[in-house]
Amino acid sequence: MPGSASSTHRPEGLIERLRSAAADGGEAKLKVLRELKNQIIGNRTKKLSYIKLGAVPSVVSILSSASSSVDCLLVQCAATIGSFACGVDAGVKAVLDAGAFPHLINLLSHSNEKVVDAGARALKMIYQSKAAPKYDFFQQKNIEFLISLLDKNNENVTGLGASIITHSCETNNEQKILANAGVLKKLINLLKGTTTQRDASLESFATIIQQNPEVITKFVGPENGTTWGSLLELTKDRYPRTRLLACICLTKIKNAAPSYLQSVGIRTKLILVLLELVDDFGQVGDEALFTLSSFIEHEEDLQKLAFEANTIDKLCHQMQKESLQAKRLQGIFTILANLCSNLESCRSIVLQSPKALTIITDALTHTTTDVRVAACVCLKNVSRSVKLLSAGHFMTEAVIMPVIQLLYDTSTSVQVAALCTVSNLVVDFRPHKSLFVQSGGVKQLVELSKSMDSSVRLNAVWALRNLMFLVDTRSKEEIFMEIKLFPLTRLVSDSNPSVQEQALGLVCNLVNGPLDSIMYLFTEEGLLLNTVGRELRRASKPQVLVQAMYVMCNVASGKEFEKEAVMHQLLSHSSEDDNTESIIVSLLQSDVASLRTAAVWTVVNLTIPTGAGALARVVKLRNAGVVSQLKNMVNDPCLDVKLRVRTALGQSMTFGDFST
Amino acid sequence: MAEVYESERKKDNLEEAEEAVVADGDGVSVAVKKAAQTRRTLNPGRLNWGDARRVVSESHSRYRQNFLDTVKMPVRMVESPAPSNSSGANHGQTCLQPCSLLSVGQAFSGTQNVSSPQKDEAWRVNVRIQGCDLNHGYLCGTMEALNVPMADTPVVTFWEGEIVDTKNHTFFTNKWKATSEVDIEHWTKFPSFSPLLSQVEVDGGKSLDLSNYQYIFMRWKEQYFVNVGADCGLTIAGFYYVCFSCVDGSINGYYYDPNSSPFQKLELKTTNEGRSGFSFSSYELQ
Repeated sequence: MPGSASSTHRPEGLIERLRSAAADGGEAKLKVLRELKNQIIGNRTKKLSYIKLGAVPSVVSILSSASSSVDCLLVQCAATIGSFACGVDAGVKAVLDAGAFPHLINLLSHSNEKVVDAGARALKMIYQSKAAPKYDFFQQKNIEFLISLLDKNNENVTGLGASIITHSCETNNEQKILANAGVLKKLINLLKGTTTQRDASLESFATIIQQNPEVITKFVGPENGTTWGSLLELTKDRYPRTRLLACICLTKIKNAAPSYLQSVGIRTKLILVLLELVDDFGQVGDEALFTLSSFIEHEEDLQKLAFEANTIDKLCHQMQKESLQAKRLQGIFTILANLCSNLESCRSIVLQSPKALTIITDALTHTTTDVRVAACVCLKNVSRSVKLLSAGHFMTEAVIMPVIQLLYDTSTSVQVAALCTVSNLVVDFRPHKSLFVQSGGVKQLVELSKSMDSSVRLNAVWALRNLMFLVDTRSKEEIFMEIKLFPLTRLVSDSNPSVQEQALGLVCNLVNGPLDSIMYLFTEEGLLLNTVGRELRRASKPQVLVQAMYVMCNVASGKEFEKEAVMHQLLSHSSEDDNTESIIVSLLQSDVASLRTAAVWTVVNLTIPTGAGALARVVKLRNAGVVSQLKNMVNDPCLDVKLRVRTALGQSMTFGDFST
Repeated sequence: MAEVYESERKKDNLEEAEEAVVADGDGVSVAVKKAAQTRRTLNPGRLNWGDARRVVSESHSRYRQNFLDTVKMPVRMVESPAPSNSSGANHGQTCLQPCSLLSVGQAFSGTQNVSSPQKDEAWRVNVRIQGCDLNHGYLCGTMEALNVPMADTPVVTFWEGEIVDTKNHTFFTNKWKATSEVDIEHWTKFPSFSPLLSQVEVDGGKSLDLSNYQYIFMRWKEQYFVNVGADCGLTIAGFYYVCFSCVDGSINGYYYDPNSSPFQKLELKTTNEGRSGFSFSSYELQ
């Protein structure tokens, strides 16, 4: 017959007994601690429940009051505290708040190895959490203590040492202190130990060398034969996690000091090992994806090797499995994005792979932010192909609609990723970009171009600039009506030069095409033209000046009225002192070839000898010193500049030789 | 692009033989005759080469005519250097310098002479540069043929270009059915190629430094039809040998396809869309 549960079996009952045991002592302590530990091991809910009921301070109180001779009680206390700290940040916080830390440290110097082991295990649990206190490597005694831990023959103690490093070593200086103190060598020695020691050691090793070429050069490179050889050997280890950790170390070495991993053989081998690990559908596989992604990022040669190793086929196949975890999807998209960042062949294969584009676009609405961002970046890089854009692969409702939707996302990182993707998709190359315009995309781009967040603002303007590229007259008008004159003027004068550059690129595209387009710059008494002219005199970033100069160049390709307006802007002085040279002369003298090119093109347009005012313009330019400046440039080191200078001089001289 | 020349030629031969065969009362020949009649209907007013040239030249302003006029200048100019032989560490590794007339958005118009021994014909052609990546020696864009006799609408193709920069690509094609002899045969048709010939014969031009040369050599290969199906009666099996002048943006090219009329000449000049000068546009992929 089932009876009612005794109050002592309920958490409240256990807590009651724990408190009284803490006060009374004796055998009861051991029994209740064991019972508590058995209940919470591997059970997050129970851990949280007992934490809430205040169990942790009672356990710590038993530990603090226990005589150092009652070894089994010390072991039980440490084990229970370790369980509370294992995998639950709230547990780590409760343990630390209850003051357990110094007591656990004391256990490490106990004469009984079992006590030391239990203390080290509990501390290791604490250091595996982000909530753990930061270890101060700048104190010599702390370094000595750390080395003493790594020197011990106990795998939990050495593991604790490794965990302290992995948790607390963050800065370049900390890495150097540890490396110079011989910690790296200790870790290398541990690679010969048990699997646990090896893995913990590899993790710490990766932390110390991360982004630190100095440490790598001194301690790790191929000239340190043992270290290098051990790492390479461990990529073949029988345990997947060890193989992964060895690959992580080698990846970090390559990323910080590329010269150490130039061998195509080793590079290929590493890619193949990581690809094999991807088959593991657990944490190792997920981490392998991110490691491979980091390994090939920014290096086209490595991307080619990964491509030749059939990475895309494998990932596209895996992507089609149903109900993939968010981390897995994010990892797959991240690798595909890296592969497609440079290689056209990769883009084509992704696009040809059955359902790949559909899976990527479906993931744009995933509930996890990181997946939405990764899918967006992947789509952005697949669409870096002029060939695929021109074929119209992306300007479809299935692709455009979810991307536009992401422009309204509550996460800024998603918005920025979506804006970057839109920037590519809208290049499109078809003059009538109706789908994007009709779908409300322009309205939201314009809205985001007013954002206080400069990266949102920058990418929104960037997208508008690309949208304006070779657009037809009607769409151009619609887009301009949405942006409006005054906000566009503000963007041209934005406090962020990168925003200015894109805004001026937008204006440049606006006034390109049919001749009538130039009139956009002359509305409201030439407000936009005057603003561009002002920036030409004020800005210092060459890219801003190049774009501003091309706006002037495009306007100068108009009729007499437009040419005269440009003359007025360019012959203004850069300061109020009339003795200074005009802005066009200073820009022709720029060290930046692309800026000189833009400036000379403008002069070419202004000196075309067919217009009624051509002669007067040439005279004005000569008087402003432009012609003599051009003569100084006839042997310009930039071929493009040199050729345009000859054209401009040739045109100027159709009215006579001004050399005298 | 070109007409499917080989099969056309076969049809023409059949056309000539048609009368004789018809006299035999052969059923097959009747079908051939019908096909020939259909073809005549599809190819109404063919534009001849001279007409096409006139159309193009009229589209250019007087300014264009004067654009390259030699003007005696009172300054000493270093004349355009002949391409040099690079040596040592720089061996053929220099990218070409950007040329603003060959940048994205730039448009060109002109003709492609598609004349064959049987007919005199030229198509009006528009080209627009859509992408340019000098680091990879890559260029791409669209080509629009306007008065193709067998098509109802202008035919647009997307092409990709290999820029001969001696780093990514040499003068030797090594594909598309082009041997080095075919390459030399086509390149030598450009006068600006002659200073390069001797070196190209040795190593395809690998050791040449073209970074300061006023001409850019390319191969343009059409990849797909943009607005019509692949069964439009035109072929894009061949490719163009192209020479671009950085001085004035003019483009000359020769279409090569073993199955089409040899040496179909492409002649293009920059267009300015009614402007009195040059205008530029740009985009940046992220």
